[in-house]
Amino acid sequence: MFVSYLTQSLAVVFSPLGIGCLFLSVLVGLIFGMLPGLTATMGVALLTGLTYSFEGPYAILVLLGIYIGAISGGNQSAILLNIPGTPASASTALEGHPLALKGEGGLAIFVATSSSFYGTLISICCVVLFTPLLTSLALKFNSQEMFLLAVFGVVICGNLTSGGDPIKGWISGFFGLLIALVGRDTMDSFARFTFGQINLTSGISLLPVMIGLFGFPEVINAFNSAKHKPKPITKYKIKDGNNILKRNWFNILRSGILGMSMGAIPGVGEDTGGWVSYWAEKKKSKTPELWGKGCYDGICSSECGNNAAIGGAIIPVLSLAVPGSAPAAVLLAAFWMHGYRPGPLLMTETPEFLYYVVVFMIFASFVMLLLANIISKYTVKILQVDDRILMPIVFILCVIGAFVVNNRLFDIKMMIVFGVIGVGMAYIRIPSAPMLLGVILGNMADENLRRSLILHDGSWGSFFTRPISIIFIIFILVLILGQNKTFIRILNSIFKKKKSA
Amino acid sequence: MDDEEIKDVVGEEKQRPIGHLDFITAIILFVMSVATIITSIGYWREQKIDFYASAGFLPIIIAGVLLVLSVILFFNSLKESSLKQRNIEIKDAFIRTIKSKNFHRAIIGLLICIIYVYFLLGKYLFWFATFVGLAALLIFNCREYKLKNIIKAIIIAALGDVLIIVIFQYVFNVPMP
Repeated sequence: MFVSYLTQSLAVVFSPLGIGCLFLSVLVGLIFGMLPGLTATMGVALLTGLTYSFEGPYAILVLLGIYIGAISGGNQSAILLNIPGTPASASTALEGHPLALKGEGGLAIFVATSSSFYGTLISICCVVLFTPLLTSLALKFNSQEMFLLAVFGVVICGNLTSGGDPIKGWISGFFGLLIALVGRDTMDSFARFTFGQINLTSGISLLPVMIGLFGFPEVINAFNSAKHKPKPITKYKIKDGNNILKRNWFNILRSGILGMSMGAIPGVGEDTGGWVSYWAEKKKSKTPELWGKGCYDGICSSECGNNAAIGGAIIPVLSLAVPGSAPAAVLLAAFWMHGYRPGPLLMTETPEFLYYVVVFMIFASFVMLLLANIISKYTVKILQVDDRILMPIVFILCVIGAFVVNNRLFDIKMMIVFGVIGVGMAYIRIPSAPMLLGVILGNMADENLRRSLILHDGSWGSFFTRPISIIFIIFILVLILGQNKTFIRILNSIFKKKKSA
Repeated sequence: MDDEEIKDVVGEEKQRPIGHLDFITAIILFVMSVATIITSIGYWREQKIDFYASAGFLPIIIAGVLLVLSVILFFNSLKESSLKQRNIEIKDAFIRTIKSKNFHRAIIGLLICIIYVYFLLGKYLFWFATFVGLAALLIFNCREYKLKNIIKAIIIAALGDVLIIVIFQYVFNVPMP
């Protein structure tokens, strides 16, 4: 049976139509990922309609190709323009763009793409080996854990991006959580902070916030550049890239597992996968002073983590029909449309489906590695274009990106508003990334906190009786108190006393 | 605030003292947090349900955290300077900003973007609005306003406009504003 299904899957991939579908879908995915505003979710959703007349296996091949290409493609605009193509690449921009400014954009893209590739492969291995185990673990995440995970995400992101002043990082993150709460709440549909604006009742979309915070400051900055200073592009040797990857083998492995685990938790997704992996590596780094100024280790962890979340997000889709992320939710709908019913009965009803997914993902990630590196040879030349010409065009792309989510002019106006906020935040050195993560996680935090309290009649006790919840609380406290000098002094004195005793 | 300082919008120079800006940020954040808490309490009263189940519950917690953080930021900003000194710094920085050429350029550029988004998009055809907006931004970005540069900017705007429409509207079938 195993051999038969495997042969069937390989026959699809190696048929002329399969090869064409694979290359084209990954290419379209990469372009979607690169363009700010066009996300993996949108790519999968748009292509779902186009694949309607395709045979099931080919449609799955196209959709998985788009998904993998789009999540990986986001790193190129993040590195070259400091504008993450997808929210999942926000952490890559922190390390990648400084490298591009130093002339190492090509090498940074190579490292990012290869890390994405390894991340996807690690997550595929986990899909095959640990689907039942990870599903049961992910299901242990109740409302309490989901709320604490959101707080944990904001706190670590605040710590990581603050440049030595975590207060500002946390302000940014909690402000993001507050922004996410604008509009009708998910439990009672009660309109919050809408100030009578009908457009605000549906909330503030993520993409206008992201494009505004990251893209707009770059556009405004171009108005001030007196002379065109072409950024240097130095040719890189693949050997150098491989050496960086070899040095980071453990980082890649850990980021892959972390990213995949984050992806497997329903509703968390690639963005958190990238940030948690980035945090884990930064914590362990022997050269923390290099972080934020262009550190390859950060790119490896971030890109490996966000792409590994793809496999993670597919695990609950396959075993429970519960999507782990937004693109995975669209993917699930597409699977249903093509007659596949993922869930507990998958292996009895359509056993070949799991093999299709695994084989297609493996080949899609190989094609992604190949195409992304070929494309980067051309995209890297964007650094030579005069900012004063490039940035007005980027601004129009930002406008389109903000519009296409809901087809509302209001979103473009919000993009401008958040752009101005982004410029102001950059000026007073408050990092934008925690705010973006706050906007991503805000509704999850609200819904889960209230649900857990309602279920326990307003008691907070359940937060302190569940093991995973306690672990999160300890982590959050350590992260916050770890910034306090008095706390560190007390800890040091305790440990010293123990040692001397 | 001189021209070099404005460049810092993207964080090119890290040595600029920003204590006075932290001071203002802390005050704004404090006021905003208090306003959020009051508004959120209003939601709870309006809903007439348990406090922890109301739509205002998490906003109150978040605003409470922001309130504490704003107080910390406020006292941190006063560590290196007195309240009186901060007031003088804010006044000086404001005057320097207003006089800065780069600040003027940023404001004019921002105004062009706002005119494009608020007054052209949705009121005129996308290709026309975008051509006008793009051309205005490119011409504004020419450092020397010679006829040759202006024509070059208009040609780039037209080509960019066509390319964007072809790629998004026809290739990706994405609806345009």
